[in-house]
Amino acid sequence: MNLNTNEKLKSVLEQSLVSIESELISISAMAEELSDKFKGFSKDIDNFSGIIGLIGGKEMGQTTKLISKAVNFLGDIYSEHKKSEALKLLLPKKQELANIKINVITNFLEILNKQSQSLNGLLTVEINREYNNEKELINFETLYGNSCKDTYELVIYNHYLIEVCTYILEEFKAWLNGKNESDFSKPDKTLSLEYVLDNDIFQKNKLIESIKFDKGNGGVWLLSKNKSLFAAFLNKIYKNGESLDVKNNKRITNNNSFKILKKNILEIDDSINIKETRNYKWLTDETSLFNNAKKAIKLESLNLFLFKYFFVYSFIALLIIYKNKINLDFFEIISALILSVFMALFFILFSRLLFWVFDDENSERSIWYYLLFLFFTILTLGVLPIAFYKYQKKERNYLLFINSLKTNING
Amino acid sequence: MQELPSEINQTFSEINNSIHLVETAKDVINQSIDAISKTMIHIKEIDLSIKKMELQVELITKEYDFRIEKNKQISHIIMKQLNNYSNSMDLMLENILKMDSSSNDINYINHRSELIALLKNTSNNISSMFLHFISI
Repeated sequence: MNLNTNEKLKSVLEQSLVSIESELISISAMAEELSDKFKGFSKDIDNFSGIIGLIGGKEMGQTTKLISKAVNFLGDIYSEHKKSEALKLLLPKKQELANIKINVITNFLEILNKQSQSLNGLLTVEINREYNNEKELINFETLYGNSCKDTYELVIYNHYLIEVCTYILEEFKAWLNGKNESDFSKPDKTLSLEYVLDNDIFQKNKLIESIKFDKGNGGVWLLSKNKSLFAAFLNKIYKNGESLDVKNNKRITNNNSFKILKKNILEIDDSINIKETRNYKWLTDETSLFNNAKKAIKLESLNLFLFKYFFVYSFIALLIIYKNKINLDFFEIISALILSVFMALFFILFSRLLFWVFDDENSERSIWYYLLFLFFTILTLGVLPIAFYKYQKKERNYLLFINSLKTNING
Repeated sequence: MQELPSEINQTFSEINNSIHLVETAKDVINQSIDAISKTMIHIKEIDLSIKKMELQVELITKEYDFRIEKNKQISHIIMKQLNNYSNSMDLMLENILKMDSSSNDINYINHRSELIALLKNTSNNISSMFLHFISI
């Protein structure tokens, strides 16, 4: 059966996880089921409390309610106890199995690590091969396309198997130390793609240089042919800034990950000259991932966004008021512009306050909040809620794009 | 109309109260029967879940015994096969790396590409064998 790289990687993950986690998953599911059954029983007792209250009085009813809660709680404990009892029973078997398999997997990991260096050397040769124009690109594809693709897949697969082996060995170590699972993270395809992207050829500046001169190389060719690799390329840029992001920052534009991604995408976009750049149609194409990225980063700061909306609204409103006069002179237009700036600033001040309360899930929104919202909605003739809605939609689109990168990587 | 004596009125009222009490008791009994039968079902379900879980554990234990036996028999063969395959892969890789990657000879380039494709196939075979091994 001829599987492509993605299918193969999925199959590796499935098989490794099935062999490692199957019994843990099935026992956990059964314990969960048992706990649910106890919850049903607890509900029965809770229903009894009403009847008992009728017969024995309110106090008896309350006591029954307490018993119901206790059953619920004890049910959880009992299910957990049954689960750990079952896992304890299986642990010696798992340890025996681990002891038999561990040598083979350690040996295979050594083989993979040894091959990794040579495969990287081969990939470096393939991705550094250059082409300068459309004709050379066709030649490149005919002569080196297959070897470039095969080598890329060999490296990705090799790295992914290293991840899988390391993960299984960590699990085995945990079993042998009396635990049912390790804290080691599961194999992730993103890491294997990032491993390839660590090669110098995939540096952003090199890509920009190639685009500017409408040249290309094996690396660029791979980016153009593998959506998952290009998604990992963008995701890597995003991740570089993510570590500096302030936790729980409500506004996306304040995040470093956003600023860095925006800066990089704009730099790449600046280097594209649509008329000249024939080898980069895969970037400029309407449905391309890069085009989606360009749309997603068109997110400005909330203050600027609100300012634009309120300024235009205030200016139009003032012009309508002034319209009663037959001739609008230059001075009046200038004064309307200046006044619009002040009005926009005034609206921003209150809108930010409303936005801040709106975003804070923990804050209790009193009737005054809704009244203030209503007041500004009327005062701005609906511009305030429209601006709210539009800005949140833009933020959602950006987050959807970031999620789509992960989907593309694993797609 | 002549009013009834107060003793008779009191008796009527007591009878009414008793009827009301009997009706309430009937409702309570009905509700109780309903609740008790539901509770009995849930208790049975809990019992069934516990038995199911115990059987599942027994089944997994038997599966483990089977897997352990199977692994004991094949682990040496797999180790040997993996080493053999990887030796031939190393050899192929070494030869490909020695080849002139900048050659312009089309036949030579095609031959090199074929060798890389062969390397990929060998790698696929090793991986398939390994995946089969980890899943048993």
